[in-house]
Amino acid sequence: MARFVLRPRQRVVLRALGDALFAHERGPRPEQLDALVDGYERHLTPVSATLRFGLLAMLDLIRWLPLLLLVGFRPFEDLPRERRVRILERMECSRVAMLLVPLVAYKSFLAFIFFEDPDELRAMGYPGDGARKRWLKLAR
Amino acid sequence: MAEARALNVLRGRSQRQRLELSADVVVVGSGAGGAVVARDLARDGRTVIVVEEGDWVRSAEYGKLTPVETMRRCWREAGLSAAVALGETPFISVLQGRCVGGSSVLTGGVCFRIPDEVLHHWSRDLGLTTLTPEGIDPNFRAVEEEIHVETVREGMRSRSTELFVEGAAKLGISMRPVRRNTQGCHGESRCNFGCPHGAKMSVDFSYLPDASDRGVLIVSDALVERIDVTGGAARGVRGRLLDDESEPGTPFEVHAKVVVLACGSLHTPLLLRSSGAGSWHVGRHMTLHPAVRVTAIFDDVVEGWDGSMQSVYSDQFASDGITLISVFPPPSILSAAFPGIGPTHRSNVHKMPRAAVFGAMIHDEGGGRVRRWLGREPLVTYRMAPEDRPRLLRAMEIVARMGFAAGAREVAMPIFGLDSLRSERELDAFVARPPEMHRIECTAYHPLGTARMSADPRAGVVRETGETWQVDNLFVADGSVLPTSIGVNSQLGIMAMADKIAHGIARDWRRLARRAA
Repeated sequence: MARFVLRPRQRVVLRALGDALFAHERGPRPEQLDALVDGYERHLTPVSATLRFGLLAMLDLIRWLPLLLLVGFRPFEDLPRERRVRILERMECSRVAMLLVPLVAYKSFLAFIFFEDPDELRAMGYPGDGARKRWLKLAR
Repeated sequence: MAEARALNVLRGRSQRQRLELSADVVVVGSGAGGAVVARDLARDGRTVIVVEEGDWVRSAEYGKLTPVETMRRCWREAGLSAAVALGETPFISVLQGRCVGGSSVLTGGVCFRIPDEVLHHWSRDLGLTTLTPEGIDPNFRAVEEEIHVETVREGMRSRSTELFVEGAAKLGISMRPVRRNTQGCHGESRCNFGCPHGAKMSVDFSYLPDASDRGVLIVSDALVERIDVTGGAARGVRGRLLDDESEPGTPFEVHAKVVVLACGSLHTPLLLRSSGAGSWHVGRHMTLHPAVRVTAIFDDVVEGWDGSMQSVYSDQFASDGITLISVFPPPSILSAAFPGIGPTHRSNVHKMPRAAVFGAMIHDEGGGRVRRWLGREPLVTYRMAPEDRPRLLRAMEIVARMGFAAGAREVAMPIFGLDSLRSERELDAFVARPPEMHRIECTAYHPLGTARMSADPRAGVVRETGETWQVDNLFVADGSVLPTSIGVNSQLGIMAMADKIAHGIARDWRRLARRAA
């Protein structure tokens, strides 16, 4: 069986989602978003068809959220970044589980993948894996 | 890195032809329960085959994999599974291993004996008379020696843990050092993703190499779909080997006199049900030990990643059903715990070097259920018991107060969409008006009890020996047999129970073999 592949439309929505979730003044860079989408696609490969279906259904929900929330007449990926960020903020604060769960499912895993980028780890002050000061002190 | 001893593994994904094997005992699952049973019975002279659904990731690879890559290769459902919350229940990720070594590869290494009061309840109230502290002590001793359980040295505590201890001390909460199954820990704080230094004595470093030396064959990528039952007794298992994409293909079967299920609380019930060993209790009574963590931000640098991932705990609130425990996950994983979207989230994530993480879990009353539905993964539902809800909120409050007591400027609660709390007054307001349960984020690493042990066939699924009430020569030796939650990390308890069950099989072997013939 071939590796699981996202549909082009799903890649576009996922990219727009990553762009909003990790938005900042200078990024994320296009290559980071490519890596994010590829990483998520790889991650879905060993997942059961049932769970994969559920996750992709949630992505569809995010896509049509602007219409459902009556905040716009275009799908999520066609909105400007600031509006996408605002929609996700609304989802994160929502008291409705149906809106909250898709955000949680995607924010968590996309964050795991995004912040594995060595540049991102360095930017947050992580020195990388390897020798640890406390262990070295004890080992001496 | 510690020198890993060889494992005798037949990789199912490399097999192109139908596989048919025979042994005295077939063990389904190579984790904490299965590995112990396999090694113990091999040592007793039995021929043993272990079938494992997951991939064989060589221990030398652990350090080369990122946390996400480890999740993809070693965690069930690539770490994406969660319980469906029923009623007023938090969002709970349910995490289990799916690789050679099972969840033992993914634990923080924390080793607790089953608390005496829990064993007293089992032995006195539930009639499981051999499960007294004295009765199971030899099994704990044997396992502790095998996996090198040691107390974490104070010098290996991360600064995050030191702050956890300082905060607790200011509130009069006593802390104790944790015991872990490690040998030469480098304090890289990524135990949940396979120890990069081979210092965590997961079963692929302890029991499985010994089992391999004694002739045990481990077949990886082998999905067991059915237990063969003839004349009321188990005769083996059958299923299909998984390919590189985890899709079932080539069939296999293993003939055996005794079948031992050790595929964990989520999958053991499915196999029991599909094989005619399904009483009303199968898949019910699941407890999870829902766990929460708060992220406290300090003025000074903490660098919580420098030190043992988990090194102290407090049982001061054990009578309230709460255990406090220090923890610090890898930064990429912790990043998801910070509140906010876009620039707000990024600004929070960049506080990581000043972050400490304080954890707690509850000794839950149950309310979980596992059942088959579409596909091969179970539907896991969980309805949090009414008495567990205040327990969970109280656990969050305690660790948040410890954060402020330790000098934190802000504390991020595990509540979706809630900004960090910036003072005790804000925490008081939070306590006075708690959030809806579904906005609370929990993690569960210890699903237990879905094939519980009982003294009476009407009350459970397996006897005190681990053998099922309904099918002869079919045993269960994993977390699913634990009759209640235990309130502490379950790895050591599962291993001791498996050791006890294996010794029982060994003692009873002649009778079991006669019955199989």
